[in-house]
Amino acid sequence: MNVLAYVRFETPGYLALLATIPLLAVLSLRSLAGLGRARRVLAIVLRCLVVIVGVLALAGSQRTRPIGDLSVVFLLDRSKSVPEDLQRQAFEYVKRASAERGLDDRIGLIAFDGGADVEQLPMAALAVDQVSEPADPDQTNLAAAARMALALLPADTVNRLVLVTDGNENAGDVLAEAERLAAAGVPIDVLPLQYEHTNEVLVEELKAPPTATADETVNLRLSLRSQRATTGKVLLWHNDVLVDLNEEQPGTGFSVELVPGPNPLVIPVPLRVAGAHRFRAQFVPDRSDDDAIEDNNTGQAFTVVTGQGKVLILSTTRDLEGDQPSAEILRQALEREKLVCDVEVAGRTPLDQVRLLEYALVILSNVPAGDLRDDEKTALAVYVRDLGGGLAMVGGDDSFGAGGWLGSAVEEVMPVSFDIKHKKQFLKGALALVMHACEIEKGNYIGERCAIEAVKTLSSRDLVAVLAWRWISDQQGYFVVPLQEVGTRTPVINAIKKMDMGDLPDLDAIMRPGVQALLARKDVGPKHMIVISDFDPSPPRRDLIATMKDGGVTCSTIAIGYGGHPIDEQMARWIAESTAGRFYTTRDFSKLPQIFIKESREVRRSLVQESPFTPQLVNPLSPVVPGLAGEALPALHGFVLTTPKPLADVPLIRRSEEGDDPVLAHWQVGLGKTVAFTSGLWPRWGAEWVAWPKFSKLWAQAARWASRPSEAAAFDVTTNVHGGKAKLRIDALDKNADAINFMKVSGVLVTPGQETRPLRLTQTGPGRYEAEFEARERGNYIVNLGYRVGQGADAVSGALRTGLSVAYSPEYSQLQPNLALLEEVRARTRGRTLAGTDFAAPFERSGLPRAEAHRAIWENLVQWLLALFLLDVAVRRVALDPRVLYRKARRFLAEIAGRERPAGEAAAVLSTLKGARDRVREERLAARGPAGEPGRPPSSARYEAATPEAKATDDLSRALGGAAPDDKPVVARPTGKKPVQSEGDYTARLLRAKRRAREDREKKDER
Amino acid sequence: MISQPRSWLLLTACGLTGLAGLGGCDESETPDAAGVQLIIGRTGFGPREFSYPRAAVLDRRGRLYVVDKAARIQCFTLEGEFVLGWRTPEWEAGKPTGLGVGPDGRVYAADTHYSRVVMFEPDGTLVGQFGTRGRGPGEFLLPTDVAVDVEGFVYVAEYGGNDRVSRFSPDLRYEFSFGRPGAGPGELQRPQSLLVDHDGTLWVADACNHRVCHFERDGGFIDAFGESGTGLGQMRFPYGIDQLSDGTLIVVEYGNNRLQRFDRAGRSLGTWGGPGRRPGELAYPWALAAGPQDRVFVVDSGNNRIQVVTVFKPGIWDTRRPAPVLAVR
Repeated sequence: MNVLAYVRFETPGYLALLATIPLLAVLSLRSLAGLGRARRVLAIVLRCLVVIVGVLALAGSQRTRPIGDLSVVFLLDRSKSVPEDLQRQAFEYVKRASAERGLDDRIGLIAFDGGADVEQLPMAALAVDQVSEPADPDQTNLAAAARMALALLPADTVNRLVLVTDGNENAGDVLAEAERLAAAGVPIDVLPLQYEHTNEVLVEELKAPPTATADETVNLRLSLRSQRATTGKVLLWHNDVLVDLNEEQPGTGFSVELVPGPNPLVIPVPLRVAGAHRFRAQFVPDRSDDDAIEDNNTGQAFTVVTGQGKVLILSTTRDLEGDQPSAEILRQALEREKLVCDVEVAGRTPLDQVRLLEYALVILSNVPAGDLRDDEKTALAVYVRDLGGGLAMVGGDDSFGAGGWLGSAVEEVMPVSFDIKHKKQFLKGALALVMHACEIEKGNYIGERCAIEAVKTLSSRDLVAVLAWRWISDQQGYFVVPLQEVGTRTPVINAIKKMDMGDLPDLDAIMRPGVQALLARKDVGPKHMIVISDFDPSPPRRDLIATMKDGGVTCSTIAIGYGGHPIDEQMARWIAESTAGRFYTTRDFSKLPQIFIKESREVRRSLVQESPFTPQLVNPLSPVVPGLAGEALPALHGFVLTTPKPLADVPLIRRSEEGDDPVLAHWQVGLGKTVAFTSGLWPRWGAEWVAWPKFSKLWAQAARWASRPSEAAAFDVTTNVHGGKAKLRIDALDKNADAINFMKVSGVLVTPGQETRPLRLTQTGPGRYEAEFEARERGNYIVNLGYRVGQGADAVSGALRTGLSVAYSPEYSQLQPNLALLEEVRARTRGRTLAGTDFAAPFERSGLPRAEAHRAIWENLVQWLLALFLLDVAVRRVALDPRVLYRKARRFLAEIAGRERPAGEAAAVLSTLKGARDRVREERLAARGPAGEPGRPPSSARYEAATPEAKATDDLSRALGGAAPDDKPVVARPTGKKPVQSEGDYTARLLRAKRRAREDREKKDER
Repeated sequence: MISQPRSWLLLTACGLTGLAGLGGCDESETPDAAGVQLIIGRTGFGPREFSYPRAAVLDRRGRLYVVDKAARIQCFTLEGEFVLGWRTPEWEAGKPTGLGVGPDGRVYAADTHYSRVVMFEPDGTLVGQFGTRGRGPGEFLLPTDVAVDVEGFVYVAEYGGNDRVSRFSPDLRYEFSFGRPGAGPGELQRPQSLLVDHDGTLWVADACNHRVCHFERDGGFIDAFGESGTGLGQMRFPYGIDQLSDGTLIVVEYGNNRLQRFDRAGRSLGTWGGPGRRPGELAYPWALAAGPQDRVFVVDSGNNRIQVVTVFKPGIWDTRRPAPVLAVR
């Protein structure tokens, strides 16, 4: 047995200390010379062992054990590039492979697309019946799957990954992960999913010039690629309107005959007005068999036509369907001043950057925050800050803080903060959230997000409580967040992030303490409760509902279900209706945060101040209010409380005893400008204002100030995207067609996900500037650039906006698997390529590295060290004479036996002992020398006691019942000789000295 | 863990030097300390693994049936060895939360979200089902538990608006029901567990009223004990109830994460457990089943295991009034 195969060392350097052992042995031989031979050998051996064990402990010894069990984690590709029947076959493969596993083997499963989901941790059996629905099927991220698998692999088994995929990676870098797995000794076996589309037509690209001027006709270039000759129709949408491309023929599309390979087409389109022009082209085959993948049949592009931009007024259905819509009043005022306006219901058409490019200014006319999605709010903020757009918010009972805008991306760019910190007249609201969302998929995460969104919309002085079933033992414990002021939000949000929603048995148990807490606060205005649950806990009791009604606590209910799980809508509806709340039900969990935002607005009602006042002009120099100096302003009848931001310009205020509140505020933020008008809601809050002759002038002035300036298309810009990489090129020529060199061009890129990234173009040739960026995400990429030519006074600068579209995910452009990548992954991790029919292969042991489990044993070694050390000391200090032991044992046995020792035997013993004494005396005399001079005694001491042998004889003879030959007491006498000390004497002397010292001290104490 | 020879050596060393606490001398808490004799199962979907088990029942042959949130019913020996397992016919809408067993060994599952009771042979063969969704006689909203008496009468508890117990004849004909939503005498709020006493009377764990109710076989209300709280004699969401050989009752509290023993008059004889993950501690316990030799099988749902407790081991019952636990461990 090779011992070293079972032991390894963490810090083997310490083993060098073992070299000291021979030295130690030699030194010990000398220093332990006083011991007997056997004891000396034993002591040296023990001492060496002490050192060996100590060194082994220092070196961090570990015991290694070979691992026999195997864990196999299958990584299944569920992205769109893999045909569905192939995905099913892949899962079947996993099931059949699972049946081949050994008794102690474990199987894990990860399904991946753009992200990776754990379907099953490595366990003894395959427990899933099917792979979960794809989360992000437009992408393939092999790296995410490999990373997730690495995190799951158990430490106590040999591990292997089986990657079942087509290898068409379009996000992440699997080769980097492969290196990591190779380093961890985990092989990746690959099972390539083979397919080939032989009958496929795809739109490779639709190109439109990024910029154009009004009344220009632009050429759209459509590139179609076909696998074989086929026919079909091309349809084109211009700003979502289908264009009749072939006026002579019936129908809107025009017929094309495609040849195998690329088929370029040019479509001329006249552009009339300024703004963004979006194009979408689609190929429809005449025979559906000729095209296997439908998703790759569209192309998208847009062109920005520079010129005077329009104003977009966003409003609500409630307003527009009323008798006198405020938004219409505003539109008429602006149009009187020759501004072009569109009025729309917010949230009806999604707001994205391309759509916003059409407009120079967006006005939110009393729009509640819940009407826009989060990404739309972010788009608005990016539109202002990074793309130079204008944004105005006009007040009303659904705007600013009262509209739930607090904490939103829009608030960040507005000149006023929607929070109120120091107002006495402000009546704070209280919101209690009752969370029971644990049973839906990702329920804890969704619940956490909802609660945080709700808290964000509250003012710092509002109160919030969050209740959930928790693993505790008293009522107080239901509060994840006890009713408290929102404050800086961070502590509350941190507490919510730790929330662990348990399975709630009874709604009453958790609603009741919430209601009691709300009712206990007398200083609070609106009191609202939101309950999210599947409503399978027991209902709240009737007395609680009655208490809520009496105490003015409103309660809205959100019933959520999952899969086929039924929801007790009746109960949810009853609670909401009995307490004047609202009832919602949804199985679309992405809507939940919006519902929470909308509902938490309930407690913000007190921000709305409805009493008449005359606004005061405090800054006549403001660019938004020229010519109003000295003018008597008409009265307003209501506004929303806000707080001006430090750098904002506030020309109009409401003055009161409590202080000044902004009515009109504006500022520049980033590249754009924003305006806040906290009143509005015409005609209810200001019939006099609408009738005021300067009403439209004031608004037109504000709109013009905030609007994005128009710019001329200065340079020729081209964009293209290929393989997830986009390229932007600017050819800069001056009016003499000479290249403009050494120009600084930089700006921001806004991705479809509203992320902004800095972008800098570098000069690559005379007058040519280029930049490259990742464009894997589907959607529109907007680039806003600023340029600067020349230096000092001659410098010319300007801005330009352009962009490109990615119509479909690169998933759909793949017509066959990427075997080369899979081969590389396999080779780097020393895996194998599996065949789809070899079900036993995943759980075979062949090709797996020898795996070991290591357990540190240094702690045990320290225990050994301690024991050996003690033994070592004992051997040196405790002298045991085997003969004495033998005699004692015999005596002991004799006593047990109760036997009388015969006198003859005792006499024999005594004579032996006497003989021994005489022998010793003779030896001593001989040692003194023939002349009787003092010689060197074999073992001398300053005080010589009676020789041990003699003493032993006396003691023994007494003990054995015989008479002692000399019964005189033993007296110590001085010898006056220089001592050679043995260790035993030294200890005895120390003990005596100690005793003496103690006696002296006691005497002293007595005195 | 210190292996045996090492511990011995260490103890020798400690003795030699007379020094206590040289490290490693503290004895780790063994499962047995709290009367836990055995722990069955761990997290997972394989045999002897659980995904949030919620009900358990013992049959006369000494077989333990457990149902979990993966809708799997697993059968074990009393020593925790896996015998067999099967799945309920449907589980998309929700999983069973109660199990009962008849004198003939037939297993009854309260298929809560399907508003029915499904029946299986001891080998897992589906025998049949009864009950439909509704508020009428013989109908159920959310059935929670099934109990069968020695004569084969079947009692089914339910909540969600009905909050009652219905009785069926041995040939599964509806006979009558008792209880209605409320907190008064004879009223129930989520009856979560049923127990047919040795004398044939019926005990109901009235979970949301935090009490235990006692009924005659004909549904006549006898009495109730318990109130909401964490003290002795108080309960929070009693989810399971069973009877020990001495006639005393044992209740598992979902809200307090503990067991509590009562005499038949409702006097508390002590509590066992508390929130935690170690042996002798519980996380969201849903049910229990008392077995031979007074070994109680506690369904420790949140820990995905069954803890087998020898309840008459001296010193394991806490008869002090426990202080409220303020922080989650």
